[in-house]
Amino acid sequence: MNMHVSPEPNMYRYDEFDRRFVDARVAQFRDQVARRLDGTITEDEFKPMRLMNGLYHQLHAYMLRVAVPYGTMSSRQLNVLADIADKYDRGYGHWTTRQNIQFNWIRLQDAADILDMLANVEMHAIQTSGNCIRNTTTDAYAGAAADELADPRPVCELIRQWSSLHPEFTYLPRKFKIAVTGSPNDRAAVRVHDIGLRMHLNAAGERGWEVLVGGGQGRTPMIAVTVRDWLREADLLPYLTAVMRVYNLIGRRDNKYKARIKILVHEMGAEAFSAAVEKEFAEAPRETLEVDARELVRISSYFAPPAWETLAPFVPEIEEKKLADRGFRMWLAANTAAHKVPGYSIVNASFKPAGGIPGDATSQQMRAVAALADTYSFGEVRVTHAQNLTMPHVRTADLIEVWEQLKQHGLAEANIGLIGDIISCPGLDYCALATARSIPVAQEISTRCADIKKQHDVGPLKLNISGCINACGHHHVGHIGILGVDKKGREFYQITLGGSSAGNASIGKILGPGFGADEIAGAVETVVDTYLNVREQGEEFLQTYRRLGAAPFKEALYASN
Amino acid sequence: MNDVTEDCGEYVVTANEVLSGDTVFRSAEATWVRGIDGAAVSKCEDTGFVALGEAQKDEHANIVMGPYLVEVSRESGAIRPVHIRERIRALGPTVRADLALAAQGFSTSEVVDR
Repeated sequence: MNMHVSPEPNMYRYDEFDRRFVDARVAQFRDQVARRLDGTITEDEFKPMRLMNGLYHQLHAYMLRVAVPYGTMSSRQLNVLADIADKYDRGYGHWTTRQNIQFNWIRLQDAADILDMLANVEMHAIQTSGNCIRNTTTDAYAGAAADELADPRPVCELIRQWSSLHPEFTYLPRKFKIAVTGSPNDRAAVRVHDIGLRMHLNAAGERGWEVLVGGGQGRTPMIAVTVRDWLREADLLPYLTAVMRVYNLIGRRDNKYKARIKILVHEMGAEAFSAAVEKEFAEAPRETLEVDARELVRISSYFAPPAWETLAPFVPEIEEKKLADRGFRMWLAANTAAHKVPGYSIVNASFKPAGGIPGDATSQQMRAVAALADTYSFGEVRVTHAQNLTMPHVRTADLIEVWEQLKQHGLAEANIGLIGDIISCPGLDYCALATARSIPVAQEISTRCADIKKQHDVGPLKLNISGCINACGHHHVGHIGILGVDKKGREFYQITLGGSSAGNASIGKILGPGFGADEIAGAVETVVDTYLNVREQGEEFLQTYRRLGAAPFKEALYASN
Repeated sequence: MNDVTEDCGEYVVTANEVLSGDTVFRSAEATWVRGIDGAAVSKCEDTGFVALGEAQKDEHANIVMGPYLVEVSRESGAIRPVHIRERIRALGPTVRADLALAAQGFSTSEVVDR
């Protein structure tokens, strides 16, 4: 075993300004809570303040959503999240689809103390709610993936700093979400975000960005349109500013359901919207460009790669274990990914046990992953938008030990990217907005599909469940999507097929009439079995659907009725 | 005044405690309790609104927030909300038995500390 104990992983660290800013914000919020508790301010007055600090009130209690900037955190930070879960919650947290964590059982009087704990490890909950620019998300494999052009996280951090309490963009028409990918294989769902940024290299090897605008899910799902094929990296912030200004000025504020930028792009037309942005961009002052460039260089230095060892890509022990142990072989196939440096692998810890609650993590599991990251992954951890954790830099030679230890903590289900890796919102069990439960549906499906061998036979299949039209479970982009609705006091579930958040993104189409709570898992099984019957050699679920359309699935589900 | 024999439904007053955020119910003693079994039941919505009006004084006193009426029915003698949303809100998540209200050790008559 090779010990990589590293208290300083390659990630951004606060400077004095950041630290003072976050500390001041905690002190301000502590005062706001005190005034709320002594009755000086009402709930109506307090609500926008607590939301600006990530404190919601959900179905059962206050819920605190903590930002994990672009999903990157250190083992030290993960240990503090575990401490918060134990001290102030009920021993667990929940990874979200925006690479954040939510605590479901927070007491108001504890909220400022929790923010203090977070500030001590350079974390906060600012802008995890409200009509502002939310946590920028990116590829969970950033800085490690074999297929990426460059690490996108310096740009994510630049956007984070630019967008944090930006005076112009703190009260937008609606919330605003940005995703960034540095890989041609989109793992950040850039085409279903308000703004998606996709890195490209030109012939000279210079980095530039494709800018996509107007994607989104919710009640009106849309795929983003490209408004710029190529944008110089130096122009990134002025261009983003131009997009935001057009949206902020023209975006609708009269109807919250029509207030997202996707509606504006749709109503104006992509060409007219793009022209408005270009006009704004052309008029924008350029005096900050050099500052932005210097800042990007400064930020990039924090993301310098770890001290890689020179390792052989081929590890005989691993190859032997693969041949001898089917369980290890399947885990390796599903839960690890190719690293850009020979001899290293990307390892995913699955928080999707059969019958479990997708994305729930106990404090013990958090500490276990933190310890593993310290020992095997330069102290670095990522939260994935699929509600799992990633250790980005594990020596391939250490994979057997990592697998064994993950198994001990229930984190080695070999199902990443398979049907058991269900993305689910908290649904009606926790959420005040939900209209139906989503977790029990996920539990039943993952129980029925518990046979890992069958999951591997079925192959890549993304199943997403949302408990209401707001689509926090991203059902629109699930290969199989499930939307829970309230129908005269009963839970009903619609199935959509053919969604995808990858490079060739698509919005799933409703298959037909919905199913009752006791029918939906069986219906999904029928869809999967139908796919197995009609697929061609080597064809994945989405490819089969795109080749054949909905007909065979409809036939299987509805013909008898 | 409503005829108590009229089938006009039964209602309890619920809210959330400011301090903890917890779901609470208005008791017959005009206190707030965490368990729905300790809630005062009003026959008919009109009577419920009278109770709600009283409860709103506690919102102004900063004890609870957002009080409202919930329709309930009797199940083996126990008071249970009619709608699934309110049922989950009253009894806890359906997916973690250890987080359901009874498992948290709250007796039905426990008065919220204020």
